[in-house]
Amino acid sequence: MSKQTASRAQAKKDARIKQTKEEMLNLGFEIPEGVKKHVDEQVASMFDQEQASQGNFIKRIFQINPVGKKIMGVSILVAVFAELLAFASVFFGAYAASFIYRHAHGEVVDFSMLRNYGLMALGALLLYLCLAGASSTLSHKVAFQTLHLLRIKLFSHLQEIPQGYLVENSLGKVKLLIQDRVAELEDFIAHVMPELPSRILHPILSFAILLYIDWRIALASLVTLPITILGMIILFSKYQGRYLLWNSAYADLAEKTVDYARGIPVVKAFRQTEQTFGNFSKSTNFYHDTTMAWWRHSWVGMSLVLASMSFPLIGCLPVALYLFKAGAITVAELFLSIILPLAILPQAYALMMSFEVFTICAGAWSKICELLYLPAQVRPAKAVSEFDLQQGVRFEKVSFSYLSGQEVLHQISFDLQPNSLTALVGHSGSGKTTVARLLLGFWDQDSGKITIGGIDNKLLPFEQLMSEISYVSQENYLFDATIAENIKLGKPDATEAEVIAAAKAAHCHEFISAFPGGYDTNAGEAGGQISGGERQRITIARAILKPSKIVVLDEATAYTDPENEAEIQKAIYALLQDKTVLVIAHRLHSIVGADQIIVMDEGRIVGRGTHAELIAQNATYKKLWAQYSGEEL
Amino acid sequence: MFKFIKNTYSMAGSLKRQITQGMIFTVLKNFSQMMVFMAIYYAFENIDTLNNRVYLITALISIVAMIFFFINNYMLNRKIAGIYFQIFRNYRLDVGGRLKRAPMGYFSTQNLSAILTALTNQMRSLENYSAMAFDFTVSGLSISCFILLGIFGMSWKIGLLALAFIMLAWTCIYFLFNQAQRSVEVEHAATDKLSHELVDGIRGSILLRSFPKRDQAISSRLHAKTRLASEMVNEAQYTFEVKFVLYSRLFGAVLHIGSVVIILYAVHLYLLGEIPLAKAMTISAMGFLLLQGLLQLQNAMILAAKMPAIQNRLDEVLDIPEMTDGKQVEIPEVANIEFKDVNFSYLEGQEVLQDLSFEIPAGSKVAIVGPSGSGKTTIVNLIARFYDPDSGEILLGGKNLRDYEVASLMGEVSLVFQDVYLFNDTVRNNIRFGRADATDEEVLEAAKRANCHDFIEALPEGYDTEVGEGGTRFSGGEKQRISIARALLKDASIILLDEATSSVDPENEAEIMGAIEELCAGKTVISIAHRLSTVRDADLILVIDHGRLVQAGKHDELLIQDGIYRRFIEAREEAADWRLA
Repeated sequence: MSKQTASRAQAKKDARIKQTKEEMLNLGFEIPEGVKKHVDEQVASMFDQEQASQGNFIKRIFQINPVGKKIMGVSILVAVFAELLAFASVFFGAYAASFIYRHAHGEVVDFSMLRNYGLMALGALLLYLCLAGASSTLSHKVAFQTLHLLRIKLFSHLQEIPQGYLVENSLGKVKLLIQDRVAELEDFIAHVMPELPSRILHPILSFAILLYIDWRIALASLVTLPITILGMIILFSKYQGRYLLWNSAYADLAEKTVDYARGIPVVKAFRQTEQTFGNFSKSTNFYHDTTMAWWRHSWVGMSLVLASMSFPLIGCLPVALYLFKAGAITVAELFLSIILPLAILPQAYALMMSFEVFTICAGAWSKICELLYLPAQVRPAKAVSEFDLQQGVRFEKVSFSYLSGQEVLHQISFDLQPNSLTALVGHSGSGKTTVARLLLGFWDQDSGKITIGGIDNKLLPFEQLMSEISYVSQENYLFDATIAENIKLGKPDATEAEVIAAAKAAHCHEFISAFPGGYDTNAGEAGGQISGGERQRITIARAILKPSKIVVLDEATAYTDPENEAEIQKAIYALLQDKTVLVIAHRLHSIVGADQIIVMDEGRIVGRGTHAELIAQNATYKKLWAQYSGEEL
Repeated sequence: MFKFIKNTYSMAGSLKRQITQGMIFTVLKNFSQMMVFMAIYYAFENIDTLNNRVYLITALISIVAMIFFFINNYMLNRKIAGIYFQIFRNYRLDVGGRLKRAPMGYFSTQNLSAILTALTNQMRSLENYSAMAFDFTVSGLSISCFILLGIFGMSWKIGLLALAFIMLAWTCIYFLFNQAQRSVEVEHAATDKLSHELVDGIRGSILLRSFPKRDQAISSRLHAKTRLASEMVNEAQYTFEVKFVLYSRLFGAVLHIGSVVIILYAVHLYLLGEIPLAKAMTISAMGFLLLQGLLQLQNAMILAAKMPAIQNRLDEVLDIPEMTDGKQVEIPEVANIEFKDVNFSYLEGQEVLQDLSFEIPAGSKVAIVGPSGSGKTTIVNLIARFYDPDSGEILLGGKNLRDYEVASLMGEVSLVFQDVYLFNDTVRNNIRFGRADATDEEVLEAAKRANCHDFIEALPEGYDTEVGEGGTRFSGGEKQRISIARALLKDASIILLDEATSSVDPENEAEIMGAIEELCAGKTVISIAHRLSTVRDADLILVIDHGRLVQAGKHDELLIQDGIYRRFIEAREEAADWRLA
């Protein structure tokens, strides 16, 4: 899309957003502050969804399941064919009516023929039901299979995109995307889409048959259309504004509910139950009021639409009778003119509902696409042989912004000498953790160069990078495998002796041996019995065993378990010997002996040197120390 | 299905009359749909004497029917849809009230997330679709009855035949609803499992990226688990659909076949001379009305089937226990705390605290130490009356905790724990939460004493900055200090403190500790201790191991004893001196 069309489209969108907001404000409601907060978010998502069309969506989602697409196509064809058979009973009824009529007017009629037609009709109906059933089953199978494949695709895609995505988006949010958002696609894919073609076909065919019988009857069946249109106009008048208000009220209610429930312990502690309960009940009541207004308004329109659609006979019956009297149609055709219009309603209603269902689906899909189409992190496949650890690590004018756009690092440059220990210090939010994560390849930097062992990190295959660097953090996840296997993850061909040595160095050999299964205890199942501090030590044993020469350490790891702090500290100390180390430091006194301390503030480096140098000359460092030790400046 | 209607009645309270009215309107609406066959019958009766008058009357009957339908549909919506929104509004408020009275200990993460899902997602579904389910049930029944009556009115023999088919059709629906109940449960279980496996799988697979791919075993096992969980959901959903399709098609089959058979039988009876022309033709037409009328319900069927199941689950989750409240409002400002032979367990058979007895004089500083899992946190929770002990007594100022009004008790106790919840409101309001009538100056004063004034002022909107849901805007240490400012305003006389709190933000530990010291000055303090300074200065140290009090006294006394305490001190001293390089 050219820039011009893009900006024109944006301007149009903005105008409609403005219009909708105004519509909402003119509804005559006193809108609480809490609800107003959600309006912008809700209105934006309302208009984002409009971008997706049903066709586009169907095309893209079946890219995940191309085989399914073909099966779905076949299923729909079968459903359409089956729908034709459904008319058997109607035609039989018409024939029967004519039969009775002719008999009443003295013609000779053969009951056995009627009976045979009846049997044929029954046969056709049974065939219809089998085919329709088969088609429905098939399309549902494909639909659910597609959802399943989508979930798996999203899950594996998570492993190809920059790991930093999970720093910027919480685990809970991602899980919600893969599970809940995908589930929101279900209604449309599994229920609406497969059944839509046959639903549309039935009323169209009915109408076509009426037309064939006599165009005047077909026209007469539309006599209540003006009322239907009136109903729809009423239904959709100020629809956007009302819908916006309703959704915003719900968003506010959801937020207040969470706030209330999560905050109850606090609320009780401060004897503020009445006040917060008051907030909660106010938003509950407001939501109720807007819902009632929303629905009340739609009832008139809805009732008009339903009423007008349920009585096509207002026109058809008199007209058909007249034409029958005039000899233009037969008894059988008269009968059809009575029965066929009745088929139109249920299907038309279903058609209307399908649009509403698609709205929900489209909203969920646009969120899913954000993850699905996120580019994978690109790295070469072949290992680089010129990797030379003696060249250390170098950051050259590295700048970086999050995936969301916020710039967090500006022109970072520093060196890590081999076998040295460098500490990154600074306030939370200064960027020290981000620097460490960039080294680990969590994201690609926006500009500047990171060289590891003399090689530009973008030219290093990810596997090679991960075999050269270890990351020790508070993540103490253990896999559903034995403790020994968990430790060996760093070096799969390690011997038992090596595993035990690593465990001893990490001060966990004792408690592991105390388990009934020892090293063969399943870490996943025994999960509940292994305390946080013990898990931490097992992950440190794993890091010790891994032969990487570069270690990135989040010092907070040491403080996760006050009970076992000393043990964990000893384990970490063992890990760091003879390595090139980058520490994200929190407790300043633990890094006074570091070879190099880098002081960061607001994404920039504001000082570097040894502790002695910095404490004498660097203002930021001095302030940090003062705060840390609790002294007044 | 009928249980659903019964449930609606029992939840409605004062709105029962409205439900009955709604039912009446539904029945009237269905009657209006049946009015068309009056027009049809009239037409067939006069089929040989058609004239303008006949055309007009048939048209008129239909128009009247349409107007009648419109009015009744509108009224029925007003009564019934309105009902459900009111019912669930009341339900929400009721649950909110019950939450207020639940024991503090009830609010674990598990319970909370189940409650939240029930209050938000599930209730919303029920609100939106219950009216549909109600309509389905009542309309289905009334349409069936009207058609039957109409047919019976013309020929009792055919009436019986029609009855047989209708009953057969309803049997299909009955099985379908039963199936739905079970399937919803299976689906829920599969969904819960998937939820768990996804979180586990994502965490694990991200971690695996840090290791050489040579170990395929763990990786494929992890992926297989997640894959399997997703497939189970797939299967659960598909199984339900297949069964649904089966019963739904059967339902359609019965109705379609029924209409053909009814026609055949009507013609047969006509040939025997038992019924006249008009009736025979009308009955044939009515066979289709039967068909269409009931088939219409198919649209709503799948939803209607799920509603009762969701309703059941909701009721289970929201069955929140209530704590018995005491009567005494006044809490003595100077009060001892005493444990007398207290026993407590979270679950049957797993004793957490055993025969615990000790006394804490008012205004003293008490440190509780011991290995993890020994019961330290439980002691603190019991003092705050998160739960009641299984046996024994906890006394405050000589009276059992149970005798005090919970609200008053909470008024005299401040909790400083690791997880801090801030409301989605301004910083100022969050601090003022400590005492609703505090002035702005008092809020500022508290913030200064809690060492958070500086960083708050530095924010673009200062004290009027919004905290974000649960306080996500702020780091752990900043949230801690805001919550301490809040507690300072409250000025309770008993402070319950978990010292691990300050490790939340090691950089700002000094600030946090300073704030905590401000809070504790002159109060009775009970802390789960980790810092050497705390235990050295404590008036009383309680050493807990496996739920029992094994040592008690002051620092110097306990240090001489060979026991847990000494080992604890040695470990803390080592940790304090740690150097990385």
